[in-house]
Amino acid sequence: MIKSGNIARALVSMVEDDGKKPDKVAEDFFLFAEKYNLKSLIKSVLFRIESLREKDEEKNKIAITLAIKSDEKSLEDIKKTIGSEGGEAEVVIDKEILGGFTAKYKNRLHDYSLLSQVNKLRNKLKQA
Amino acid sequence: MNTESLIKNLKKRLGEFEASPEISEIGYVAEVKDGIAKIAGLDNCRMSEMVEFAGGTLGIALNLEEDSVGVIIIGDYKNIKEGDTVKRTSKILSIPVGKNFIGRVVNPLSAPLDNKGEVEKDAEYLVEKLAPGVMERQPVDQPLQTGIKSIDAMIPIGRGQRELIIGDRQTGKTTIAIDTILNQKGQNMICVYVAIGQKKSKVARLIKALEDGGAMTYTTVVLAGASDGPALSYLAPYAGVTIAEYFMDQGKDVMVVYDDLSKHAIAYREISLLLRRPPSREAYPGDVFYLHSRLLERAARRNPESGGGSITALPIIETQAGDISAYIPTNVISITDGQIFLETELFNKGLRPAINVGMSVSRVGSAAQIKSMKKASGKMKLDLAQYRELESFAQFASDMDAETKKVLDRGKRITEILKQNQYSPVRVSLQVALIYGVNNGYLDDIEISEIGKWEETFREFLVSSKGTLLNDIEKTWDEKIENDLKSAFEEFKSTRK
Repeated sequence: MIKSGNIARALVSMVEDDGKKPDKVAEDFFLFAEKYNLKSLIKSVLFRIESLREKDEEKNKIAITLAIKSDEKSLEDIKKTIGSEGGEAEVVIDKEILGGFTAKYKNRLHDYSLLSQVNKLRNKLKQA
Repeated sequence: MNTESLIKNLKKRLGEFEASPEISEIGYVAEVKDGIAKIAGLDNCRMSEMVEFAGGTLGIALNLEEDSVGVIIIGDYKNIKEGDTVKRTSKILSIPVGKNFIGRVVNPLSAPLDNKGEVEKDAEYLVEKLAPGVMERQPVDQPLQTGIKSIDAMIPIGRGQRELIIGDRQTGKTTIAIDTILNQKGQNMICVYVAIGQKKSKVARLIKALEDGGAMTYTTVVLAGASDGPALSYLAPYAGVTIAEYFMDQGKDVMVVYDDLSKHAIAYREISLLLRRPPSREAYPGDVFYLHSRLLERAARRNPESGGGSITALPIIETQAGDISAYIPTNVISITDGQIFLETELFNKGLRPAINVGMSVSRVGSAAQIKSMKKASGKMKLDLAQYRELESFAQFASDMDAETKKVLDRGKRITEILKQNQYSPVRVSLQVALIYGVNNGYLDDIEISEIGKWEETFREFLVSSKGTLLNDIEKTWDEKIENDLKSAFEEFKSTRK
């Protein structure tokens, strides 16, 4: 069974990974849909491509949690630490982390907070 | 001084401590319902890996799909909401184990449920583990005495065996398991009772019975109640055998009761259907056989070179209307080394334990019997089989020959002597004496209705005045012991006149 999700992923891969021209890919896809009577799938393929784009944007979002407000330079340093190439970051102040920062970027959580270190130390001492 | 050494220890641990950041892969809850969550992200998550939700609740990844990961939530899922962060732990589920778990009631994650405080662990063991290999095992040849006459005489169980207890509801399956646990007092055996999807009121009664019988000094209870959700019911048997493996690794003998695996299969079916796995026969997932085979294969008798010790498994299966050819019963029958089949008809007739000896079998057989029991019970199964054949025939026949009458009378007496009360296990030497007596005609002149009272008095007589003989019977069997036993019967007979 041909799924719109699989077609959408294939089209995105052809443009991003294989470097093909988007116009050519789109044209080939329409011809393919016409030839194999799959025109009814075009709308859902478009929807899937948009979802993939949203997911990708979500992945590239940076969310930083700090214990106290910080200056721009510190934020840039944090972005460099987590391997980000720049871009807007969503900053949240949360005193619960005690110090340091946590950052979410590209499906990874970078925990440089004081809270996690205190918890690690507590567990280490519990083993005594 | 204790304070000095504590300070030294703490300083050492502080010195060893390294402050390093944690970088973990995260995903987000896309969907959560009925104890199952679908997580978006977690592209590198592995099968059966543990994941941690925002509030510290754990889950196990069971479905690795193209766009998402299907996770069963172990614990309370009501605080988990869509969009919550989920972290990979890079670990497979493990639970604390140790000697302090004996006498405790815990849940499948080893958290205490008996309000007696935290349990100090000795180690952490993986819940899913490979079973011992062929070369690590040795044949089963040491008896596990259940204290139930019919079982020890005709369906003997050995240490390291898997013996299934199967029957309809309310036929005495759990009673057999509890009686077996009660009989392990002083037998160098550690017991683990796993309650899967049971009513907590029933488990409370069982724990009371174990406490009253002094069995909690060597028993651990693992409880996943009916209201605890399918995830904990799914994990419970594996947690039980994990706790048992800790003791087996120390060369000890352990017995694990799984009560019952039918509910375990139903919990797994529920999880699998919620995870949208394709259903097969009776809506069970395709790997329901593997669910039980990998559990029961962990029961083994290990050779001394591999550390010794054994795990004996007593799985329980509940049938519907006596149908042992249904899917789950046939699966488990083919995995185990025998079955004890309980019938509602026998139970209602007053034959308790309601064991259908004809349909029950122990594939280990007399290799798991002490010498005296082997000698005493030799022909008993055959005699009972002949009795059952003639019993129905005798209802219609008015005149019977002497031989047939003899078989029927003997069969009735054997059936009567095999009856036993709940929570009343019988010492093996007493069993040998009773079975020897009934098979050799010492009860032929006792009325059927008097046999129960006779047995009680005879047992008291043996315990009070033939203690040495009973000890000898447990060790071996020879002509002298046989003659002593015969003399005991004569002596008892003369005292009753």
